[in-house]
Amino acid sequence: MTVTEPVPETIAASDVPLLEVVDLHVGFRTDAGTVNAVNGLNYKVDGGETLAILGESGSGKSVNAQAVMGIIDSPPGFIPKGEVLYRGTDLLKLPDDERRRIRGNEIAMVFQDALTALNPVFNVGWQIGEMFRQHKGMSKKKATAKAVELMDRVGIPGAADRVHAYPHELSGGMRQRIMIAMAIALDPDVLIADEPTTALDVTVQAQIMDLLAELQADTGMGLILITHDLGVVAEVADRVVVMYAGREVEKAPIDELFAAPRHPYTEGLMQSIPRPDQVTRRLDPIRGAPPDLLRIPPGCAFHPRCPYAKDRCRTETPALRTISTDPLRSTACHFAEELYS
Amino acid sequence: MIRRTLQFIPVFFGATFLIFAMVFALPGDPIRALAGERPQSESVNQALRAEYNLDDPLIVQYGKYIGGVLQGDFGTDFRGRDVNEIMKDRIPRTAKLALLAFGFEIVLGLSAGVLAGLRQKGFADSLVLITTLTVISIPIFVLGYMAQIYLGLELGWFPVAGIQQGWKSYLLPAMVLGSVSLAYVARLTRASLAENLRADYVRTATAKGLSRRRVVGVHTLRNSMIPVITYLGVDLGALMGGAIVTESVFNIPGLGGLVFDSIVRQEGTVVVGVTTFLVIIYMLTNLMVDLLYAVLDPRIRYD
Ligand SMILES: Nc1ncnc2c1ncn2[C@@H]1O[C@H](COP(=O)(O)OP(=O)(O)O)[C@@H](O)[C@H]1O
Ligand code: SF4
Ligand SMILES: [Mg+2]
Repeated sequence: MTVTEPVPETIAASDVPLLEVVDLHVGFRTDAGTVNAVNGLNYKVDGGETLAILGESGSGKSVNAQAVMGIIDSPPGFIPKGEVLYRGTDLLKLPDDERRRIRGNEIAMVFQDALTALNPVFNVGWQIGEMFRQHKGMSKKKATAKAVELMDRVGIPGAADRVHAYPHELSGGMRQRIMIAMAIALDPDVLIADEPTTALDVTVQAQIMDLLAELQADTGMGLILITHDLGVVAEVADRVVVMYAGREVEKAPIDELFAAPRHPYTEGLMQSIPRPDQVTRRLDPIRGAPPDLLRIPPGCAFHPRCPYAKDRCRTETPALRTISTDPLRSTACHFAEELYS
Repeated sequence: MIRRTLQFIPVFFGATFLIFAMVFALPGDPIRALAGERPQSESVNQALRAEYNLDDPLIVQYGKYIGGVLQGDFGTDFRGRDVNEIMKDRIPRTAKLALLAFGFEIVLGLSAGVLAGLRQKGFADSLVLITTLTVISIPIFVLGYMAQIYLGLELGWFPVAGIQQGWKSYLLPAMVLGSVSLAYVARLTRASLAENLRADYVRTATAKGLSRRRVVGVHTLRNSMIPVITYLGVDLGALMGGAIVTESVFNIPGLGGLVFDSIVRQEGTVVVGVTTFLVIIYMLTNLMVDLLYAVLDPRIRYD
């Protein structure tokens, strides 16, 4: 098999979503108590679709991705509740070795900082080739040839010369391309990219985003883009899940979210994005600090920071619900109708 | 790499000169000491002084001496005995002892460290931590006597002292000599492995769908070994030098005993000869470690 023009697979063949996360909970047992990093998260991704997961740092985005991959540090991490359905099968119930075959093969992940995420003592060709050697039983020589092809495909100039380079010998952008090459090596159906551009320069950020979009268009995989910066994924994402304190607070198609938020937290996030048309406006980060995950506030977790909070918000947890005016969107705010119509 | 090697040259001369100066700057006239209580004629004294270059300034004496060493000649002592000849039988004994100790250190130290590091706070981990701490805190001669009494005399597993039984005679002293380093290697390996297991690249390896065995055995272990190798390299030389106590407890006629006796008898030439020899060994092992280090960790480049 060669890597020329992969045929997009018909992934969303049935009404079963490619990947669905249902009521996911993840905690970490620490000396201070249980850190509730994810608290009932729900979302779906289909083939060919790009889902952005947006939230401030510490909102449980990475932990969610680790739970889907099955790479939570455990102990201290544990999953008290929830399902991760891949083509209808709950991965959390699979035996270890079956789970392991799905990792890298069917669901793959790109990490934030490629410098620390790549092994410093092996060359990049070896690290990419390992996917073929370990999962496909390929010879070392063939695997290296595959690595060169992949490096070529992710836009690394002079791939044949660089296949024996070590991670520290490449630029940040090139390293992230190596990570991506490694992740797509076995044509996964789902790719999770956890802040893939946060460690990079602005110009390189756009290139990496373009690369991900292009690869997705070629392969038809489902793409989950985790970010704390909506601006970065705006061009690429189809839908957005906004996370706060380990739970989704708003879900919407990206254009609609940009046009008008339906949750005070999203509104706050949008105000903190620099926009070209509003150069003079002062950036307006949300006041207050993200919640302490050892003691998440009762009621609406956002209420201590919400400018619109009322008594009800302190006691009653708002459920995620669709808004009558707009069936494609949902929000977890008691007062969404009053605030945004 | 070449520059790295060149760096050893000043270190070599500095270290050997210091040894030379300290030993020969000691008070007391070696020629008179040689004569003991007997009277000795001034002409004989003069002749001896000339033979041993004793009237030259210290730096010139050193120059003549080190010139000989570089050609493999460690000089002659004041009794006219060839120092090379004195060291010849003893070097293999100390080397055997040190290498065997080094072997224990690597095999047992690494295994214990890996076992402990893999399951922190588990049973093996606690056992390793407690044993190594005990070993480190007991003085080596106490360990030596304890080993002799329990493992040698009571259980009779090993020869108690001397070198009459060939390789077997070296087992117990080597274990004692290597014990402290072994404990350090175990602890260092444990800490390094535990730290590396939390590294991002380990998470990546797991996310690639590799088996746990491969994630640990291939990805983590190689990185974890980097600090351990550094320690091991420095330690091989130190083991040879540190054999004095062990050799005397176990009555092994090696370099350690030779230095000890020579200091007591004020035989400066022998002391300088042996220590200079050890410095050379020490530097060679260090150089080897540096080379190995560059192989293990591609981020290191000596240029
Ligand atoms: N191994 C761990 N042990 C304890 N707490 C953890 C661990 N990993 C993550 N957490 C906690 O989970 C919370 C969410 O982290 P994360 O998912 O990384 O946030 P982000 O949205 O920035 O990716 C953090 O507050 C962090 O303290
Ligand atoms: S429920 Fe209340 S506190 Fe929460 S976002 Fe809505 S208005 Fe703010
Ligand atoms: Mg994160």
